[in-house]
Amino acid sequence: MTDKKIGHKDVSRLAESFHGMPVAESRAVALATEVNQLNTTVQTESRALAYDVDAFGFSSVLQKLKRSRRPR
Amino acid sequence: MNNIVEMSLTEVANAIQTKKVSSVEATQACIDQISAWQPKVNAFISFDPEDALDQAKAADVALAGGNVWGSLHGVPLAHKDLFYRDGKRTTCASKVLGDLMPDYDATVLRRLTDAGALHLGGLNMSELAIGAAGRNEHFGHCRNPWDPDHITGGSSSGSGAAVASRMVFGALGTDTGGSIRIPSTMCGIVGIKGTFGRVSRHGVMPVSYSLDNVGPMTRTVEDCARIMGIVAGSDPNDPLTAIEPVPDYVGGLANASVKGLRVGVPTSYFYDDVAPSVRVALDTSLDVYRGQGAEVVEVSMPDMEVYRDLCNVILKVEVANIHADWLRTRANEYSNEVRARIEGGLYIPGVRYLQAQRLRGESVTAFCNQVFDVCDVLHTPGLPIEVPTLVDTDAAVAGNALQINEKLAWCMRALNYLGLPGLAVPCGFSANGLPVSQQLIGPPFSEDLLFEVGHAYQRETDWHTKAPGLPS
Repeated sequence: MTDKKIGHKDVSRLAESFHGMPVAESRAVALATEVNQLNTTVQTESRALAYDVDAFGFSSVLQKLKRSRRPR
Repeated sequence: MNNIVEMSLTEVANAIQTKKVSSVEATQACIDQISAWQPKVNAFISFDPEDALDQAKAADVALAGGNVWGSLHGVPLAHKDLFYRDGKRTTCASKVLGDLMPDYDATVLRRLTDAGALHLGGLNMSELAIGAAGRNEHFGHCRNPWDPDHITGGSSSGSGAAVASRMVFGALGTDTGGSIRIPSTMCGIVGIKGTFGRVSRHGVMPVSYSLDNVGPMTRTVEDCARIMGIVAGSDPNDPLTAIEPVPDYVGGLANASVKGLRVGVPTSYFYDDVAPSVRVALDTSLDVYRGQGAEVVEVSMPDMEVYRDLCNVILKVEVANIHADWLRTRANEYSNEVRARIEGGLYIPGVRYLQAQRLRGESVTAFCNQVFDVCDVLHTPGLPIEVPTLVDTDAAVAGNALQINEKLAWCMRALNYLGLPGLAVPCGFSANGLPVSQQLIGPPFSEDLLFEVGHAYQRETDWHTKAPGLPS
């Protein structure tokens, strides 16, 4: 099951509710396409996530990698 | 053109400290160069020559009294106009923040000041550091010194143009998705994005807390190492800085060698659709490493497009978060292009953002295991296409502008997600006469290794000594 795709009218509606500036249809179509692509990628990749992965432990991962992997 | 501005940062710093050149002479040389080049390339947003000369006079007085401020005593620099300086207007090249008047110094500027550097002004950039082409509707586009019809790349456009055209001896930029390495590549200079957390972002206008990096842009690798050694290191004001000690980057260059080093060439993604003349320059750079005793090896790549997408998820959501209030109340003060890029983050669910964050640690671990088990440094293009023109990248004019703009950060963006260091080093010119650069990528905190490899390359080549001529 994948996320339901957003359409350019969704983008226009959200933009209207958020800041009230009009969004050209071509730009809304491009935005919707990009956002759908990004959401699909995350959804696909996130299936591999372990249950206990820490969302904000990235800095410590880098430092552990440095210690385990001296450049030369 | 004068001889002082042809000196590297290292050379002019040494010349000032040994009193062969005064800081006033060096600063006046930069002022003259700025006067000649600024109308051609629009690299500066703010510039105060009187203030610059006052700083230089103070540096000379101090030196005459035996007081050396630091390793950059009296050296004129200028920086992207998003680093906060106490009492100095910082525009971030925008209308929204155009009147920002900070009341404190960014940590990196304070460290450079403590090392004796002078600050000549604020450099042009993409509006709010968003945009890989370096375009700016509010302050005018920055133009490439090698050919002003071409883009500098962004977002640190002015830093690239100012250093390449010898207006200053070095500059700081920021890099959220390639914004140091892209203009360094397009302008034919050296630039580094360090490991995530290597350099403090305190007092720097944020784009994305998870992806922003600060780094130097210079003419030589040695100069880059010198500035990096000053600005890098932990900072209690930026809790995401790493506590890893900072190596002696410059000291490590004395015996720099690539003998026995495994230089990895990716078998996919980076070289997909690379322009023929760009490919020639990159292949020639690999020959230089072979000639110095390195082993060039092919490296199979993970799916870089996935990392690029994950990077964009984080970037879009975080920048939308930062601008959310202004987007509601001052939407008309953004250019249409930048507003569209920012608001993309409003449509990404919070769950997807958190998943992209959670995938980051295991992504970089998998990448390092796959790539750096096979090679010591990865060698990629900085830009797979020839540097495009301003018209090529104008979506309102060029039908294929979206495709071209997508290529600008093609080799860069995934590194911001992975948090890995990348060093852009010029390695020739493409068929249109604009610069070509190699990007050297290493494991976390391997900036010292990247500097050694780049320095070894520049000892054998002279691309970094080439200067653009003043356009007519």
